[in-house]
Amino acid sequence: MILIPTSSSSSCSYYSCCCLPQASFNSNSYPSNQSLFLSKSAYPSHQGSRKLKTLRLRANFWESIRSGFVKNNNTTQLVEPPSTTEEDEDTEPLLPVEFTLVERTLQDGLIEEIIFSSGGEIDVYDLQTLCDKVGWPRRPLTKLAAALKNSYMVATLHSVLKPSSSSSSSSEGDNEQQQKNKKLIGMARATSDHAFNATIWDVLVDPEYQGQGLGKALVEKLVRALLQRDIGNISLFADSQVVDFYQNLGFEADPEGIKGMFWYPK
Amino acid sequence: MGFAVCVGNASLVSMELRWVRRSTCDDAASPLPRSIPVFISTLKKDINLEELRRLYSRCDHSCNRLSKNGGIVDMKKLRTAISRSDVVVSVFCKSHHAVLVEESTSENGDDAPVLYSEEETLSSSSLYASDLRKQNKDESSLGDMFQDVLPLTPSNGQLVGFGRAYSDYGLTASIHDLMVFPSLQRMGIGKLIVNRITRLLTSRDIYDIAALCLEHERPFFKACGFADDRMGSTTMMFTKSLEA
Repeated sequence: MILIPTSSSSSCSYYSCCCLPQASFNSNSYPSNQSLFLSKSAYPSHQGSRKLKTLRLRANFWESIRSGFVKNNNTTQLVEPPSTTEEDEDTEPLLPVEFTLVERTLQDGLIEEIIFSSGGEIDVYDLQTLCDKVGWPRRPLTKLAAALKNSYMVATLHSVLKPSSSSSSSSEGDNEQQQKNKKLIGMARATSDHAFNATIWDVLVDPEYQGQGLGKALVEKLVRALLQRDIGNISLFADSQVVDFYQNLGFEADPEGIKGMFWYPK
Repeated sequence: MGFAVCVGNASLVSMELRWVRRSTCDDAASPLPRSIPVFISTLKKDINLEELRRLYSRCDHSCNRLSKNGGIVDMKKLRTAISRSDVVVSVFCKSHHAVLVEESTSENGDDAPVLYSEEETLSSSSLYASDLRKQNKDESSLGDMFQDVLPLTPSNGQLVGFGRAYSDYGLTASIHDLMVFPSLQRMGIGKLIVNRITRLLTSRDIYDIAALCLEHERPFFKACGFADDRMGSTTMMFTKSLEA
């Protein structure tokens, strides 16, 4: 596997250099005019809210100031994120982004598309399956769903299998077919205070798809989006085996003696 | 810190009066009385951004952790950061206590004394006064006594401690910008703030609480119940400058 270190000037030809033992990479089908890293335009990526079939609670922060101290609404103030009107004042709204990262033809003739998406829907069950695959301990689904919903940014990678000939099973509709063949293969998320600090959690890629630079793409995009929003302190807690991975992406271990400590109740 | 007055539901206390006390081995000649009342608030509306920014500079704390990005705190970003933090804890103390501190510490002549704002909603001021006489042994002048008896209000207190945390409301949280006015340190205020933050987070079932700290802050966090990651993870921060 060749892992090519990324740089901001890399173009779409980056992935054409990867050697994949199982599949032959079809570089012609890759959209050549599409910039892989949307660094020029304002990077639109979705904010914390997800369309996870739960209503997003809204509370107007400034309204609470004007109305003064209201005892009963303490929890509301602390728990709920501010409303959209305030968001527009503070930051540009994060828009969903989705584009194809890699497209290749597999041995059996199917076309596989790896789609990067930010701000889209994530099936919590799919995520849990993915976490199981990489060997992570199970976490409660409700907490997982809440965490995804309230993360500042969530980036995902899906693999979509398409038949090479477009005429097959068109009666069902191609979209439905794609839905069935869409597989979650990677995710990364970041929490933030939207101004100064951000922490990246839960970066994972399906073991079958590792070593192809997908993890790098995920983290790179996340970091890029955060930097574009002027969030300077990006931190993460890396397991020992991935420290080098993050070092190659521009992270430094214990910079200026800053260490992370965790709370352990006695 | 024996006496506490709580306001609000028993389940959720947002404003609270506590006493903080210096340990006996600390400088006995300090003009500060041995124990002073402080007021803790977890409400965002109690935060005056200007005061907060002053506290940042008094504590020599920059919002940007890495020194290359240091500088004056950007007000707009600060406002966003506060509004987007899930937990904010502010600690206030009485102005005259702050003034005492100011007189004893400022030699180079800082401009306008730091305003400390306090907030307190005590149920009865008489209760407060009697406890004050019990606790405050060093009050010497009638003027001071009068000041002590006056109930703390949002307008006459001063911000001396602060801490905030943001989370994903489900699994993880990060504590940032923890600071206490230097002259009022070692009185338990910092610990008060950290305990309040962790209590609020654990009440929402978030147990994965992280805090980034410098080398000299580690003993403090250790005393608050923090420790190195048991899983042995390495803390990393993004330090590469964005290429054009």
